Amino acid sequence: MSPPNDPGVFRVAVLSVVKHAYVPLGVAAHPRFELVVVADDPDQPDWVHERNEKFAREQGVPYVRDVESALRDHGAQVAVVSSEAERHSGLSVRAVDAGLHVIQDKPMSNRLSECDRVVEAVERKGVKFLMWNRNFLPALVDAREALERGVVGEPRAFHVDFYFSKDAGPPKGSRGAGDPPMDWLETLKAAHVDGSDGGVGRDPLGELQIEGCYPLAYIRMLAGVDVRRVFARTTAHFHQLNADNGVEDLATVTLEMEGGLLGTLAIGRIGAASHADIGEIKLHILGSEGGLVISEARPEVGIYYRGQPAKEFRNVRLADANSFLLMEDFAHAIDDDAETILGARASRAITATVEAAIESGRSGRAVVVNALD
Amino acid sequence: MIRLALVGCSNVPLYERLARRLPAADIVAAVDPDSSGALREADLASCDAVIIQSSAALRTYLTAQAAEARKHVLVAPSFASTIDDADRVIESCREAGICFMVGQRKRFLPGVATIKQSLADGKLGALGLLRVHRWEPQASAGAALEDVSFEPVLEDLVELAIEEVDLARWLFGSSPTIIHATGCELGEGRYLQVHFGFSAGGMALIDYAPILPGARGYFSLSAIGSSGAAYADDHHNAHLLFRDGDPTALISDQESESLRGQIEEFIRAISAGRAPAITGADGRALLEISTAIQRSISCGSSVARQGGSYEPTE
Repeated sequence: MSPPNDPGVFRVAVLSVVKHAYVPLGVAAHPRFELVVVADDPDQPDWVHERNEKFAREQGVPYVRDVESALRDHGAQVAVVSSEAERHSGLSVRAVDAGLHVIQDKPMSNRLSECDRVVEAVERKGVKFLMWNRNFLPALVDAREALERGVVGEPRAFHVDFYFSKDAGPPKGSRGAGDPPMDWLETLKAAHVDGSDGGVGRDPLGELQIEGCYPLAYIRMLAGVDVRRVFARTTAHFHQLNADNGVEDLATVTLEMEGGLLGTLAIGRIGAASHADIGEIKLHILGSEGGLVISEARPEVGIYYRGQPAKEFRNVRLADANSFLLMEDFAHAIDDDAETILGARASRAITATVEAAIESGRSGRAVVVNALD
Repeated sequence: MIRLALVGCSNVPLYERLARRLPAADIVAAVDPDSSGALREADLASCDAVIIQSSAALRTYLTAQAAEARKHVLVAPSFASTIDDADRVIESCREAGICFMVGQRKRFLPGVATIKQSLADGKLGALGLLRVHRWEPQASAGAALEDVSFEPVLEDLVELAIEEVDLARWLFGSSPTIIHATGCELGEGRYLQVHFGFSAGGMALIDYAPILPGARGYFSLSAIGSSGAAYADDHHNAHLLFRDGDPTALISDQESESLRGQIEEFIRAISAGRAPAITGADGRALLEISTAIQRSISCGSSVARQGGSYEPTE
């Protein structure tokens, strides 16, 4: 592993890339990071190996069916984990134990106990951890800078609407009598073609687990504190897939944070018909002296033309340097032994918030978030 | 022509301008209660209907007085502070055979009314989520409470946010089955946050803050249905003004149109001899919900509907 103050190029091992590849591609796009190998465990099913091999081929790097060998034999200093969510933490811990810094796709895990393993390993080995996030989108940079300038005084309430206008298969209520429940894994594997496979894996995941990390990371960054207690409502409102597998596609969460700060999250995979573009994603922030309303998609440009495919978004996001800035942040963390913008403990706190919200949605009671000592 | 008397209304010129667009109505008087809190007989005799905007403390008596005089009544929200008072008022209006309408102006905002129609037409499918942000200037909130010093406690905010609570009940078609409410200090004021759960999985979030500087507030409503969604958002309806310093937003006014729509519904209900869009029973239900919100705040937990009341879940 390179010494922490060596401003050179970091060699990167990609540990499984079975879903959308924007995390390893975002890593590779930064000049200080170089993909050198793709690897996975040999006992993974064929579809996993096929996707890994395809990515390795496209990147011009070898594919190795042996994680430990890949970590040992290719001089990797950084691992990028983009497997199914249920394998995220296990692969991350193995990379950390081998002495690598880790960049991991969200969610941290679908089990809080797995997140604890990552935190322990990262702190024991003294490596850097980054969970992929969107905190460097232009709108979030604008929001943070505005709050730091004091435009609303002392911020006290933080609200995020995070609606993805994507379908997840047929609508709820469409399963015929006698038809079997929809298979989560097979459906999500098929969704790979349009990148809507963030929840791929054997374990079904609701929207809080699949996408909740992003808006909760916004709130955590802007508020600067952890969530202490939540009250949530959750339901499968839109899609037969979610109803069949007992996971929500719509949720609202009241967030009671440290220091008496408050917030809410409204999140859902609301269907392609429900917005002109990818979805309505907004932040509303109230402070002692005013309020701030932020549209996460901006800046954007509108493009309309005859014969435009119905599924093509009319508004295109601009000036999005999120991936580059995340990698700048990660490189800086390694170079200068600093914290990343979303490290292991913060990621664990977000997962704990999600877990508490799911429990609250089921019980109808407020739930205290399981905080790490 | 229906003769309207305004009782305790702070913006009489606005009502007069709106009345010119109501061919079946005429404003014949703008009065305030006397020192005892009652209307003079002469004022009641001169009109067919009253619009009561007086302070909450007087609304119960004034409504009952107007009903006894067989005058139709449009009263601002929170016409009673207890369920018993609400029941007495409703009964007295029923016995008098008058049109009794509880004001809920937000229902008549053009954007909100359009969303309601889209729901009724089935365009949005089953409503799953309602999200409302309402921030308003401190000065207007103080005027609404007739408290120039305006240092509201959370209970005041529950009263001020009653129109948003009504929107949730109206758009979902039922009262919430579970409520979790909380609030905090915000600058020199307070902030309220309400979370509703409805039967069949529906949910709503409302945040209300009467702390904005300046004279203009902010309102945003998103309705997410099973087959469509609707967004009525001041953010979307803002113009930009470039003058000194950073640009500012100019938000198109819909409030006066909502007031006109409310009065028009009142006039139509009287003329047709039918129940108005918002009845005393609706007002009574809102009182129950408001009480439950305050209970959730005070006990620090959610409250769930059990029989005829809301009880803490912990």
